Amino acid sequence: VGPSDAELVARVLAVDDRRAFAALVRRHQSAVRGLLRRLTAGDGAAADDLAQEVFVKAWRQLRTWRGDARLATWLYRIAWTTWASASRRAPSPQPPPPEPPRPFDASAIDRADLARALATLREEERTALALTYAQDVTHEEAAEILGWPVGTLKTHVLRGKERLRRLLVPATEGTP
Amino acid sequence: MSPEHLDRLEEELAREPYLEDGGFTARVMGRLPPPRRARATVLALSGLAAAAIGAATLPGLVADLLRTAAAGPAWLPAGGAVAVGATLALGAAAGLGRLLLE
Repeated sequence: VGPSDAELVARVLAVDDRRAFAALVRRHQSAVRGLLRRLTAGDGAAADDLAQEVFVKAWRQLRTWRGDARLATWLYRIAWTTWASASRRAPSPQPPPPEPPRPFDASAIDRADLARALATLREEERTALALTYAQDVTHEEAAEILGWPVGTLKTHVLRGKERLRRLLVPATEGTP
Repeated sequence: MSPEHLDRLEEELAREPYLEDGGFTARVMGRLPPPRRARATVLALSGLAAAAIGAATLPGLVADLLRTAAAGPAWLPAGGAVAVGATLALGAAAGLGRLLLE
């Protein structure tokens, strides 16, 4: 536990405090990089490049952060717009088709399978799932970040999950 | 999919493993613009450089301005010329500083 986000931001704005900004980056890097990994369908290198861009933009725009929204939510919005404009510039290549469902340990879904399955979702579905399941983000916050009505967000989340379930259905299921 | 698998899917979606920093913060800090103090230093150095260049390339003009200023009645226009010159030098310095920063 250290200074709050608001205190660190105030220090950055008041005296150009680089240590305070580094503390903010350290605090939020994992969540922002994690979100971008999901948005980029598991491309860690691309996600980290975008995450760096996100924090540089955050530095430049820090004055526009209003304390009424959580800093994490504000950073997620920057992350999403950064990823969206990057994917418009260079659309991501078509992901490889998912491997056919195979039996798996009922106690765990294979993370690699999930990443592959996420990559095959429609962009809206992947985006909705990535944000909805990001740390502590409510449906309302995710909808606000994306500029979508809450109902639209929930629809994409449900469709995305339904697709994932179909892709990840264990081969053993349905057999007598 | 059984309820157990549904739960596992939800869990896996919600699971967000912590990503170690691994030099990420340092890379971000390296991409930030230089600190304000450094910017001020660049600006001041640019000003000095501009003044030195001005003095070296226009010694006759500076001497003329000083002579005119010392002459007495004509001090007002001479002062104006000095002010204009100083403004131009400062403007050049600011521009040069900005270029160096970008």
